[in-house]
Amino acid sequence: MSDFGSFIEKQMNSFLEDSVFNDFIHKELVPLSHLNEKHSRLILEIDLPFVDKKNIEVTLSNDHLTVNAKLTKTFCISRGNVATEFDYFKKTIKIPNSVDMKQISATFKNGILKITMPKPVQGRKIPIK
Amino acid sequence: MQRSKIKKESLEDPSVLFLGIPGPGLIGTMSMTYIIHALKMDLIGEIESSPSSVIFVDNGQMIGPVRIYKKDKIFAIISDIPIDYDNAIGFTESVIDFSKRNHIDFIVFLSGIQVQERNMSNLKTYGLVTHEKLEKLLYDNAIPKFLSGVISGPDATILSQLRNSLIPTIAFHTECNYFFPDPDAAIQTIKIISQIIKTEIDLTEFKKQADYLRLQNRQLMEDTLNVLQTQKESSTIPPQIYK
Repeated sequence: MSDFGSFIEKQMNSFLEDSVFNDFIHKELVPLSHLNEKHSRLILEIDLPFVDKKNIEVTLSNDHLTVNAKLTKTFCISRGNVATEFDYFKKTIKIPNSVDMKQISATFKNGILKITMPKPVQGRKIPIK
Repeated sequence: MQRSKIKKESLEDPSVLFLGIPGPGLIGTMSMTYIIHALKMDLIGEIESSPSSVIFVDNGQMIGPVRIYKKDKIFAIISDIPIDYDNAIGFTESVIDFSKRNHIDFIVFLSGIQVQERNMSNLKTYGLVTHEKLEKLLYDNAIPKFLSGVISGPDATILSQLRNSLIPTIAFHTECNYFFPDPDAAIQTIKIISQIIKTEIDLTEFKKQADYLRLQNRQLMEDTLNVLQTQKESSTIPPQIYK
């Protein structure tokens, strides 16, 4: 393995080689996300590396949208003597009132989940005399 | 930031200095980290802030977040922490000071640029030069010029200071996902660096680790966005006057 590969592997797995670690915590990772407001819709993008499309679950309940995604590999972070293992991404957001809940859709491409939330057409047309 | 501190050796006959700091898509940091590993560059010093806000510990050794590497005529300065507005001027002064003392021919600044729609199979890198003599470098390497747009945030502070210095600078901005670590855009940037230094760089390892990099750099991306967002709110479309 190259220096770079070793470097990354070391970052990821150093805790496994260290016998002093005695405290393992299993948690869900909060993925990076970004909400972008366009004219007629809101677009929520969520970064989901190490995730297969089949392992993503998007659920809608009341006014909350929750994304659960299982990682294909366990991701570990070590701080001092504490190692934390992550197997899932989880993120819940409150959906703004202005969204048409029935029209929410999602796509997954290049490891990024894109949730499109259209705004309902509002108002009435005013005729021009 | 204080003046750069050379720890291990005096430098002779330098040529190019690459700058990689956290920015849009973490392009500068990820591409520079890989170049340093791929070229087996030596750590020769650090740029210190006073007092430093972060110290990394690796194998019991303290390492500063802003480091200087060297291999033959290639130098690299990489930061593992965002350069915020308070530090951008001091950081650039250190870079200029270092460049003068080591006879750097030109500086290459690596960053990303947000685009609405991009062709993932053909990401573009745009070049921006401070001195006319670097135009040829763009032309010879078929790198399109950054023709119009806005550069904001610490990138703007750093570039405007470099522009006012006597050291020619070329900035490469690669189309990227602004908000997430973007290994694909970093790969494109590495290809451009490879052209500039006329050295083939094997990208196999980088491609294998792409998803790890996205996961590993989540916190740095968040910290970077916090710095960038401060300015992004006030960034504007280029003024249309005189057009």
